[in-house]
Amino acid sequence: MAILLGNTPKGDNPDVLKVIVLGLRMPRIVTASIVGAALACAGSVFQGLLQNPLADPFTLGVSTGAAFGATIALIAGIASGMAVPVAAMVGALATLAVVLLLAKERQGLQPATMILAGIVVSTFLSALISLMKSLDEESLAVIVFWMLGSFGGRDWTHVIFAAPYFILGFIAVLAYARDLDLLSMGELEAKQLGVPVHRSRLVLMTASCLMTAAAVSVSGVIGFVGLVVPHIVRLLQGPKHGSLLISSAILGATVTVLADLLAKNILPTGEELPVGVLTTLIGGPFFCYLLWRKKRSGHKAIL
Amino acid sequence: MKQSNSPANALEVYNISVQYGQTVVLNKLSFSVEPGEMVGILGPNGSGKTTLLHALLGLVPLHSGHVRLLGKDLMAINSKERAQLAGMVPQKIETIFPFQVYEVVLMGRYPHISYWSGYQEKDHVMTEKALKHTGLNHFSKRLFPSLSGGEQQMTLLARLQAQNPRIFLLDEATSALDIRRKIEALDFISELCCTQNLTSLAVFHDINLAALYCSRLLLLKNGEIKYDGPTEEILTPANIMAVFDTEVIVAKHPAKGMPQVFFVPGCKI
Repeated sequence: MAILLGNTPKGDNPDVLKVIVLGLRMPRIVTASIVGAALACAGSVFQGLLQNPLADPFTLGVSTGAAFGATIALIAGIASGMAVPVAAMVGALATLAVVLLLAKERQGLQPATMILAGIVVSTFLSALISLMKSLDEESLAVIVFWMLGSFGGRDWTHVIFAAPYFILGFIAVLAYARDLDLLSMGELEAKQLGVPVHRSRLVLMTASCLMTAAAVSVSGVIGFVGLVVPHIVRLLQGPKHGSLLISSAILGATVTVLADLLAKNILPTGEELPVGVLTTLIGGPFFCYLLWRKKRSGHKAIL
Repeated sequence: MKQSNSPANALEVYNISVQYGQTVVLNKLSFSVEPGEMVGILGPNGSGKTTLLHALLGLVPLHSGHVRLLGKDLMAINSKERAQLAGMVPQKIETIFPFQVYEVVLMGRYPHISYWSGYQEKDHVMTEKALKHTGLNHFSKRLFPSLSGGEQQMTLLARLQAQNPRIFLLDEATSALDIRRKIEALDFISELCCTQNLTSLAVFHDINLAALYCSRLLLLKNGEIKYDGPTEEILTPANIMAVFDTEVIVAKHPAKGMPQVFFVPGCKI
């Protein structure tokens, strides 16, 4: 709250202050928190489930699907109100459905096939987005800006739009945290110890994709939070998913809110930097530092 | 004894086949194991030993036949019930996540917990007990991926103990252990079989170790059971030649009297 109030000029009428805080600042902060928490949480799930330290919430192409949906809405010129988030959500869900359908084998969902299906679908959609951008140059800037991610102008409708997905998804992944522990040791191990692998995987996967889709729909593509935050938390307190998911959500929310604050104020000209650019600019070198640290410690485990 | 349907058997395997695509990995295997038996599974590389253990747990789809664990059809029980009846130590596991030894052993309790309550006091007690038993109690905070192969195997044996199933399936579970730990681990398992009527099926590469501990041997080749019977009858130079294409001399263990094989270097068939 101190941050909120610190930014407003002194001596203003309390009603104006109230409007600024409750109507503008608060929803923006809450949106950023939800998005950061959802991305970090989904990242933890994806890394554990796919047993891949490089996995992030966007591995399965959900973000490209959302971007595709948003691009169509932006080009069609229906950028008013909630049209873009809704279109992005539809795009993300449709992509998820296609990826799951492609990756579904007789034996259930296989991690390697899922990554491949995600890459294929996501690459194809990227090409379509590029095509649309080149066909409609007027929308180019808007599309690019949306894809870089921003919390500018987000209001309570965005919060109400994204929150249910996050809350439901978060409860679902927490309930399956112990299954995720075993799944992160390998499918055979999990199966052997009695985890209903197909059901657990489907629940975890769907829940984290829904969280990601909701996050991307209201904010655009914000990189590195979903990749790096789980690694930091694992480094601090170990890989047990019960606590990893909770701490990742908290740290993800904090990092994203701070990044947004910085993005708003960092340029001397007063313009706003897309927050996705900032998270990637800070996240990239930080990830390099973690990799370097790992190389020095000589651990076989990741980070 | 074969194809007996009496529920007195710990394990009943009837006519099971496993195929990967067009490749037949197990071809119509049938056998049964009584409670308290310790059975050794031997065979050359690719003879289907590991697949057999996986098939007994339902980890690979059966192309034909059925498996009964303590009289219960594998298809009729859920995965947690199955994991309470039978547990496995794999050859090795690859994990990138830095779980502590304690956490890995605690995972053995998964089949005994409910979704909402999670791990209880009792599960932690069982975990501590298993760690103490395997001499890993000073190790409990170490990170599993940073352990040596042998230490990882000890951890997985402790996990099996915490899991506390009635049937132990060991897939070369002692291969990376030093001699003392190997003997200790196998002594411990054979004692469990004797005193608590547990059943154990163990894949070995070391024929002599199998002969020392197992009263019965299954010799696998090309996905079929070539020989099945008491160790003294099965372990003959002719049978070893038929299964492994290797000439050996068989002699009695000087102290224990079990048959032991001696390899003959440079002997061409």
